[in-house]
Amino acid sequence: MPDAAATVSGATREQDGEEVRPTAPDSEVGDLHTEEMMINMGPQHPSTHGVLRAVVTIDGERVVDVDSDVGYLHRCFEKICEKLTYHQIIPYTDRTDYLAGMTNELALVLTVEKALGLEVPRRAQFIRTIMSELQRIHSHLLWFGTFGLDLGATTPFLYAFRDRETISDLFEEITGARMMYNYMRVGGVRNDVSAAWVKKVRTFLRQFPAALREYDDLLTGNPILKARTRGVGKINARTAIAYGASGPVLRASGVPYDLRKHDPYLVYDELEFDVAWASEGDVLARYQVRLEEMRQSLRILEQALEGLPEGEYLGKAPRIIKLPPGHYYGHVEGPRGEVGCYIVSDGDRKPYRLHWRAPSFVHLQLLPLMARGHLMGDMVAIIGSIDIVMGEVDR
Amino acid sequence: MYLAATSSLPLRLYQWTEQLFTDLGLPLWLLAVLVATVKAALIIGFILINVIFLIWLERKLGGHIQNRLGPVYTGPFGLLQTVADALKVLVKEDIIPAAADRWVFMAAPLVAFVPSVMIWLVVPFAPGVQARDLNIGTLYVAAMTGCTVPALLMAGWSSGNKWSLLGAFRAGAQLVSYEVPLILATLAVVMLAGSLSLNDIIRAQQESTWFIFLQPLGFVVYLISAIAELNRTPFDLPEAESELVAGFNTEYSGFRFAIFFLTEYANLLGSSAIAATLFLGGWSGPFLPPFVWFLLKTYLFVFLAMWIRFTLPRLRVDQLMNLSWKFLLPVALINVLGTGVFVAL
Amino acid sequence: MSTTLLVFFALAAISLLAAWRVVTDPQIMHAGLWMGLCFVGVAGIFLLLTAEFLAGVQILVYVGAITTIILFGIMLSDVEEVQPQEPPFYRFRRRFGRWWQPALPLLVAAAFLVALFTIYGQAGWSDLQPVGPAASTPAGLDIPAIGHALFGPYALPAEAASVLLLSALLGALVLAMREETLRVFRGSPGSSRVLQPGSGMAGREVNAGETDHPGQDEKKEVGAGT
Repeated sequence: MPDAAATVSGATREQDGEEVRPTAPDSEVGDLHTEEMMINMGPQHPSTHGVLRAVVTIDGERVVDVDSDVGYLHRCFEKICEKLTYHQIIPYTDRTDYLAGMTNELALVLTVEKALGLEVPRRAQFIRTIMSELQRIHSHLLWFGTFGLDLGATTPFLYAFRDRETISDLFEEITGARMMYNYMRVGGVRNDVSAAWVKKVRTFLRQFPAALREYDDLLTGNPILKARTRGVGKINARTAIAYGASGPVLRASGVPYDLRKHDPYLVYDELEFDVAWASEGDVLARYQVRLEEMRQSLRILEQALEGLPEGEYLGKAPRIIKLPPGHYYGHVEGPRGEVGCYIVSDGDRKPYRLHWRAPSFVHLQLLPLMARGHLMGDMVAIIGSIDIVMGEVDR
Repeated sequence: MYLAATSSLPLRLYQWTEQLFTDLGLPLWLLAVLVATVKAALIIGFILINVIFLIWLERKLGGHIQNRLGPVYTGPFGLLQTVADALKVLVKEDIIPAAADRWVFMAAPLVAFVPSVMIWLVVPFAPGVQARDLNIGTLYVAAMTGCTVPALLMAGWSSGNKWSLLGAFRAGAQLVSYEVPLILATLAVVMLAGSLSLNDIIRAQQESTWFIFLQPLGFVVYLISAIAELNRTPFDLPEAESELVAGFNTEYSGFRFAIFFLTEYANLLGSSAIAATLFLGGWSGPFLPPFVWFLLKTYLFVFLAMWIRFTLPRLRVDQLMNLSWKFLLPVALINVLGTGVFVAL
Repeated sequence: MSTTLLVFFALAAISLLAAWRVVTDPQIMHAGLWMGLCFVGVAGIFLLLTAEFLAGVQILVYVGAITTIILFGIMLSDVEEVQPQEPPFYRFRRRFGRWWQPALPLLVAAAFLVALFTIYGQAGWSDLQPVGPAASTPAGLDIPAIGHALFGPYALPAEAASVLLLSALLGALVLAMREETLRVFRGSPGSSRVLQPGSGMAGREVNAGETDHPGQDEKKEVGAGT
């Protein structure tokens, strides 16, 4: 039997082989100093949303520093794209931000269409808009559920998934897939939507506001939630812009910047909606912005369904796509922020180089700024509030 | 009278056994041993059966609150799910991490479990059905509840895991902080009843009214503190899954984990039983047999705790401390003061 | 030899052994735990003397609070470890290691049984043989008497003790506060190692003002509670 005393070490033992750096001894307080503890949050941790490894330095419960270590999910997406034709890349984009496949595909096909100067049929544009907004709600619902879980409220998760299920079913009916849609095509979309499907979406639009009210009852109005999130993980507008934040994270920091308004694509310029934004820049603001975005998405969806024209759903596009040599950038407003696709073409069927701008990756860089000085519990709320998807961060 | 009937049943049983012993010429200490064994077995049996039911109830309730069904497949209404889970956990390997402090690690679940059983020594199930009517009943309960803290510290510290250690810190801070308002809330009840004995407290409530009506403030303080003492959401910080993985029991597996789990629910049941006794008049009530009343009232608290668990998000560490020291403690003190004035009048 | 005497010896042995280990155990955490065990043993002896109130208070205060605080303190502080030359009971273990592992739980179980019998085993259900508290409790140990003593003749010492505790509490707070303030002046020590953002937008301005964390010294407040 191993001897008890031999295997034991003190409470502050370090397992990572990292030396503990005691704070500078202070003459006035003598021996009374505290030392920090380095702790590995992840890559297997319930609330790092995938395989994020955050090396957290804590002083008691207070986060002194966070170092995020990414790359556990790296799949060489960009390199693989160099070996694929543009149509072959489409299914790969689903796998970057696997919670928002539609908008990823859209970013790629929009870029390719821009490079080709391709005109897309109006019906296809409307279908793309509908899919994007459904995707936004779909993704925000998952975020809502997991954010609740991060804060220790287990019930909202299941309510959110109830409604998310409806959207998943809608996607499945048209694309045959619930997650990896492979639906967008250069020049349009793969399948047309039926009248029956449109009716189902309308039913969802009728029902969903009630669900949103339910979420408000469940979580938004909760004083514990407010106390946990208000003033936590603050990012001001300047920092957010300097770091290249986009999407809800940027908008919650007081910058009402939305690509759907400021660089309209598809038919967004014909539709009426407001940009959801808040000025506080804390976790609560990001929470409220996302909830409001779902409401705005409903508005967009209603108008898009109303205006859905008859006609082609897949326009004429060259069978073999060769982009003229040059640099192309296209971006869309994904659920997490600006999804950008940067293509360098040498005139071949395959991109010479493809870079994917992933909003989660950008936002993850803000994590140390947001988390420093807060408590471990806040740290979890902050990670939840920036809504990272590791598939997109690591690509 | 049903009261007499139920209370005389154990009495008759005892007298009968005593007669048997004298007839057979057996020594009386053997009788004492027998009585002790029967009592202990009854109480532990009661706890185990109820815990199995409680776990099922929690999952079922949680399921229905969360738009799903909870366990359905194993047994009728999924009732045997807990049994299946318990069996599964018991056959798991008992892993003791290399970095763990072996002896402390092994002892911690037991140290946690023993107080949760000990509480039941003074719980009055029905008139006359109580293992021992200690004249320090409520103090005894508070003392036993307090014994859980070192166990959690032991578990967290000995695991050799930083998450466990953090969980232990939280557990220690939380349990010690909430013990104070808990005891103060109990104190107000004790002042009203004029006795620490749980039986006397029930008797006092029979004479006046349930103390929940005389002590609404104390009741609220007790309820909040008790939920905090039980480490349940919104106060489940020591084992906050999304923050600390599993807190102090991160490294535990198999049987030892099962013991921790059992302890948690045994404590829930114990606290509920004590709350029912202190504030809802214990077993007293019309029409139904006292034991049924006891169970009903106990399960009312259990239900309340579960309902809260599936409704609220978790508090943050500093908010948790603020709630205890800046809100509950002053309220409890004012309550004690008010009760003092009330009693003096 | 009566059961009571037997139990007394058992408890005394436990307390003494534990007390001995408190001062000899090289592992300070273990020493703290041994101390808890010692307190439990003493509480048991109080119980034997039918000083139930004292036993309850002993467990509540010494096991539930004092031990906790001490363990807490040990866990929070950077303890220099002392490696023993030879682990305790080493020779004994080497010789009997094979069988003492199963034997120990049996021993513990036996001790637990004895304790169980003495606690539960005072024949009969309580209400059947009402033993008035006054009858079983020695004079001066029943609760009202203790209360009267504390707030009557011994009011001054009790108050003095509470003032002492209060000043200790305040002292701890002052020490802790100073530490916290100093830390704020120094800035958080870990941040120098971190990649500072190239944009010059330091995170400091984001995190400084606005948010305040009253829970900073919750651990000290714990100490305050007991």
